[in-house]
Amino acid sequence: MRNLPFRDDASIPVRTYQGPDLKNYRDYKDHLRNDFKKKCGYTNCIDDWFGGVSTFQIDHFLPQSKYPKLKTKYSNLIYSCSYVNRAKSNDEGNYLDPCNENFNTHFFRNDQGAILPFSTSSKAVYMHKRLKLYLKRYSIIWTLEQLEQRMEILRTLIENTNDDGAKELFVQITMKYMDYKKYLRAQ
Amino acid sequence: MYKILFIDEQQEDIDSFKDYIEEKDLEGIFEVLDKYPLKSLESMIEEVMSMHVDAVITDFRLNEYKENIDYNVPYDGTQLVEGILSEREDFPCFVLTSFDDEAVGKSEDVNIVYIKGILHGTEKETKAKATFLDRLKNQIIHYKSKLEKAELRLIELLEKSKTQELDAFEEDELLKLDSLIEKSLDKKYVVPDTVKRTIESKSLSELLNAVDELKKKLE
Repeated sequence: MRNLPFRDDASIPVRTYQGPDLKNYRDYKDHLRNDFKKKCGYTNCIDDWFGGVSTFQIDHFLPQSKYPKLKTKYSNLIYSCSYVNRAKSNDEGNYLDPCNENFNTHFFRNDQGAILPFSTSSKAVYMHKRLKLYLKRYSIIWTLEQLEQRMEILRTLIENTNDDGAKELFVQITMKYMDYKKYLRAQ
Repeated sequence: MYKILFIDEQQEDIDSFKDYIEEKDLEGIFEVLDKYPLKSLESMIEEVMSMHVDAVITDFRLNEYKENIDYNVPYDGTQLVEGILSEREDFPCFVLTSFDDEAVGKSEDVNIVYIKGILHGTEKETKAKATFLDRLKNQIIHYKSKLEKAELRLIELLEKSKTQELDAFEEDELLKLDSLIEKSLDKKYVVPDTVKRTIESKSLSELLNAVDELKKKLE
C-alpha cells in the first residue's frame, strides 16, 4: 500500500483578506471560501458535494467561547465542513492550523483516500480522533475529486495529442465516475 | 461540566430557569447559556449549532410576549427541536410548556416535552421520581456514551482492517457505526451507504496512477 499526500499544493489555504474586521464573522464566508480554495481546512474535501457550500461553516480555530476577542478575527477563522466543525465544538486541544502548517508532514492518505495521521505527530493523532477524520465520507469526496481531476487531465491530453492510451483511460475513468454518480443520484 | 442552552422570548422566564438550575444543580455540573428566539427558524438553528452546547431546552411558545423582542417568531419550540433533530440525530433537546397538551400533540416525541411548573416548585408535589434535571443529565450522559462506544468500536475495526481483511459482518458493523457517527454530526448530508460500499482500493488507485504516468510521458 502506498502513502498518498493528504493534500496537493493547489489546495493549500492562504489567508489573503486584508480588509477591516467585520462585525459578524459569518460575513467573511466568501473571503474564507476563496482563501481556502473551496475546501475544508481540516479534511481538504471540496465544498461542492453533499449539500455544498450551505453545509460549510466557519470554525473558530481557538473557540469563541474561550476567546471572545477572536470571534471576528479573520486570522482565527477556518473554512470547514459542518462535520469537523461540530466534532471540534469548543475544544481547545492541540490543533494544527491548516494555513500555517504543512499538513502533509502530519497526515497522509491510503489508497482509498482515507485520512490517516503519522504516528510521529501527536497533534495529528489527536485531531484524527477528535475531528473524526476517519469517517468514510472524506475518502468518498476525495475519490470523486480525483476522478474529476483525471478526467480533466485526460481531456487536455486527448485534445493535444490524440493519444489512444489517453482515450482508453478516459473511458475507464469516466465509467468509474458514472458509477459513483449513479449511486449518488439514487439517494 | 455540561453546557446547556435555554431559549425563551421572555427574560423573566430565562431568569427563573437559571434560578431553578442554580437551586437544583447541587453538583454544579451545568453551565446555562440563554438566547431569545431569532426571526427565522433557519437562522435560529444555525445559531444554536454554532454555540456548541450539550443540550437545548426551549420554551414551547416563543411568540407570546414582546417585552424583550420586537419581532414575530414564526415557529414554536417543538418546530425548533424538530429542526435541530433533523440536523443532528438524537441530540439532547427538551421543550418546556405551560400548555402541555398542545405541545405534546405537536411534537413527534412526547418524551421531550416538560411542564413549566417544574420551574416553580410543583415538581415536589408530583410523584415523579426523576426530576427534570436528572432527566436532562441522564439524557446528555446517555447520548455521549452511546457515541463514545460507537467510536471506540469503529476505531477498533478500522485498526483491524489495516492488517487483515474484515469479514462481511464486520464490514456491515463498520458501515453502521460510521453512519451513526456521521448522522450525529450532520444528518442532512450524509453519504449514502451504497456509495460507501463502492469504495475499492486497488483498481481505482492503479487507474489514477496510470493517468499520472501517461501525463508524464506525453507532456
